[in-house]
Formats: sequence, C-alpha cells, structure tokens
Amino acid sequence: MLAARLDGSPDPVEAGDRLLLDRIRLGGKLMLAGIATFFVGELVLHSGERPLISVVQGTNLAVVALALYFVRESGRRGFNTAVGFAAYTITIVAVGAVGILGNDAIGPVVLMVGLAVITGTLLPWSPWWQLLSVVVIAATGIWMVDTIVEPPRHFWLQNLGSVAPTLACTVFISYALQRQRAAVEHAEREQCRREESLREANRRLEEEIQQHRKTEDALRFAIRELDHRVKNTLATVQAVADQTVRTSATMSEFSEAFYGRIQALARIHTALAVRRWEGLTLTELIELVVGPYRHHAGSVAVECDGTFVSSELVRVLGMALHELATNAAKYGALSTKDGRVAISSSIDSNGADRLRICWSEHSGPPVRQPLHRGFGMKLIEEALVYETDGDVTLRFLPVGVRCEIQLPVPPAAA
Amino acid sequence: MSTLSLRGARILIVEDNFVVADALRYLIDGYGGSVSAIVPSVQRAHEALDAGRVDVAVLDINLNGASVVPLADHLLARGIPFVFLSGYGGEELLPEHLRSHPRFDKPVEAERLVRALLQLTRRDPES
Repeated sequence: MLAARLDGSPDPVEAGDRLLLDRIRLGGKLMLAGIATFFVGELVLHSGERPLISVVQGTNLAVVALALYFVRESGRRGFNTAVGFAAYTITIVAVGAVGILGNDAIGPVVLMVGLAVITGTLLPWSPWWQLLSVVVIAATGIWMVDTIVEPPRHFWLQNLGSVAPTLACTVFISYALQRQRAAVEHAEREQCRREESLREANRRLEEEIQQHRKTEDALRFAIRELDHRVKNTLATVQAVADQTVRTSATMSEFSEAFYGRIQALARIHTALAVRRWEGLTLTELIELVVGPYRHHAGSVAVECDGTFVSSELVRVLGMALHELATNAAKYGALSTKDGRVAISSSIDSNGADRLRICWSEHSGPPVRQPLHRGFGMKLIEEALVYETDGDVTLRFLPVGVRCEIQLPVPPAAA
Repeated sequence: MSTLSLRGARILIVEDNFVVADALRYLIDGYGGSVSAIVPSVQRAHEALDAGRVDVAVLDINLNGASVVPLADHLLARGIPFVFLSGYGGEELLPEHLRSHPRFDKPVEAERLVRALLQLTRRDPES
C-alpha cells in the first residue's frame, strides 16, 4: 500500500479498496437474503420436486458466497480478479443448467448472453459495458416476472433466491474490482507523473549545480588573474621606485617623480577596472594622465576621435604620456599659463594599421636640450618601442617639445 | 651583498614589461654582471642568442600572453641555464620537465635572484 499522499488528497487506491469492501458487505447481505429465500422456496413450497435443479442452484449460491469471502482482502488483486472470474463462469454454467433442467429455453439464454456480457466487464470497464449489464438485469427481471405469472408458483421463489443474488453479487464484485483496478492505474499514473516531476526537479538541480561550478571556475580564474596582476603591478612599482631613486638627485625630487608616476598608474588602473580591463579611448587616457597638469581648458587640445587603446597598451602608453606631461609641467608648455599642448591621433592604413599620436607643445618658454637622459625620457623613448614594436621620435624643437609616436594596432582596435 | 659578484657572466633578460626588464638590467649591472640584452619576446630572444654569448637567462613565464616554454626548451637543448620569473603563484603554466628549474615570484628579491644566477654560472657565492 502506498504511503499517505504528499498533497493530502485521498489515495485513489485506498478509495478503491474501501469501495470493494463496501460492495462485498452489501453482496454478503444480499447473499444471506437470497439463501433464506432459496431455502423457503426449497423446503416449504417446492418440497424436493426437482432435486437436481436445487443442487445446482445451491452449489451456485455457495460458490458465489465463497468468492465474496475470498476477495475481501484488497491487496491480492490478481487473485481477486481470478476468483471473480471463476464465480461468473460457474454462475453462467449454473443458470444454463437450471434453464435446461427446467425446460425453459428463453430465460437461460438471455441470462447466459447477459452474463457473458458482464463477464466482459472484468476486462476494461466502459460505460457501454455498464449499460449492457443494466439491460441484462432488466431482462432477468422480466424473466422473473414471467415465471411468477406462470405456475408452478414455487419455482420463481427458487429462481429469485439463487439467480438474483448471484447475479447481483457478481456484478458488484466485477464493478468493485474494476474500480479498484482503475484506482491502481490512476495511482500508477500519478506515481509516474510524480517521478517525472522529481526527475525534472533533479535535472534542474543538476543544471544549477553545473552553473555554480562554472561560476566557481570563473571566480577561481579571476582570483588567479588578480594575483597575477597584483604581482606584476608590485614588480612595476618596485622597478619604478628603483629607477626613480637612481635618477633622482634629492629626496624631494624622488618623491615628486615617484608619487607622480604611481598616481598615474593608479588612475589608469581605476579607469581600466571600471571598463573591466577592455581598454580605454585615447581621449580618456590623455584626460587621466595629462588632465591634472592643465592650467585651464585651453592648455591641452585633444583631437583623437575616439581612438581605442587596448588594456595591454594602456599602461605603457599612459606612462609615456605621463612623462611627457610632467616634463611639460616642469620645463615646457604646461609650466606657463600661455603654453599649449596639442595632441592628435590618426590611423595610418599603409599595409598594417598603425596608430600615430602627435604631441606638440608651443607658446611655452624657450626649449633647451636636456643635459642628461633621465628615467622619464627613457620611458618615453624606449618603453613603447620595447613593448609594442612601435616607433617614437622625441625632439626638443625651439618652439616646443614634439613627440611622434607610431604603434602597431591590433586588428580589432580602431 | 657586496660579496656576491656576477663578474664575467653574460645574462639575457626575457621580460615583456620594459620597466621591470630595465630595473633587472640595473640590478645585474650592480652586481657586476653583464646583460647581453633585454628582450620582450621569444623571437627577440632568439635574435639575441644568435648575436652573442649568453651564460644564463632570466625568463618571464608569460610574455604578453605568449608562453616562454618553447624558448626554455631551446635553452635546455643548447645547455644554457635559466631561471623563471612569474607573476603567477602556481606551477600550472610550466610543463613537468621545467618545474625543477628555479622560479621567482614577482616582485623579485634581488639577492635570491643573484645567488641563483651565480649558482647556475658555477661561481662560488662566498668567494
């Protein structure tokens, strides 16, 4: 037996079992009434006139009563069905025998056909079979009335006593068994449906776990990537500190240059993080590293038309631009209010695309050639060439510093 | 610190970040070594190897997204010793046969690196 249903609705199998027991109880009462009637007809009125008929009818009553007794256990479904089927068969044979022995041809034929129909109800039970069984019961009733009207009068009591209860009981048993089977099938379907929904839930859970696993992998990758970036950044900071110390004459010179460089790297890092390390437009990058050295809006003119710089290139190009800006702020165009810096860019499509950036200062103080090449100049002239295979020309023209940068552009950027 | 000397050793530095590579060059110069070249890629490293003698190499594992492993195998075949520099903590980027080579996390500790280079060029660090 199945456990109580999760949703609290009554178990269809249990309902089928209860129905079967109800029918069996009702059938039992009918059988008792039938047996009583049979004995009244047999002993009081008939007085053993046709002993063979009495034996057949008595046996039939006993068989159906036994069948009722046997099917009361609802758990043994296959056994119950077999018993019900046996009771039918014996009833059919008995009715046929009674008809032949009683020289009544029509009644038994009607009954036999009808019972054959009812027997069929043990197999799939449909409204048509139910209708047919009602017709058969009605036909039996007519035959009964017919025997009442025709003497000998005691014969109808005998028939009423044996045939009616056996017929009614077999119909009851058949109906109850059918209901029970339907209930079991329903329960099985329900079980299937529940299993299917469980499988579905399981599948969804599995999918969710997969999703989580993917997220976890991505996270692990991101953490490793972060570790990599932090270490590289620390290495860069250490190297910048080393080089700045080497090229600084005084402590204040060191701190000014070092902090300027670290600040520029930090601003670039922040902007890249906001853009999820996809890169920046050249205009954004210039604003980040050159912007802080502006005296007013007109100090720096940028004409870069949204040229995009990939994240790999941003750091080294940003550092070079930062050195140009600090140099201009110290000695060049950005050291006075009137000085101007014009920055422009264009894409040279001569075979492989190259990004050209032109830094041009004018209206500043007169320019002198630097006495020695510091780390800043090295960053401008060597770092981009080293890392990108680019080309940098830095000139200290009398009118102002001019720096021309040419970088190979990856196909995606433009 | 002053007892360590890389005098006479020719060292190749393969590192894609110019600032880091340049700082390494100064570091090795400071210990008396001679840097044959700083190069950002495997291809440039081959050019540098063809151009002159190299006693020992310092290899960044990840060169702007490219692996340094083919170069390490080439050095192994030529019998030139090397050490790895790595921004990654784990060994997962290196194949099994290269994991026994000295590896230094960035940022690198100068003395440890110099000691490893000395050992590879078979110079007694205490002399």
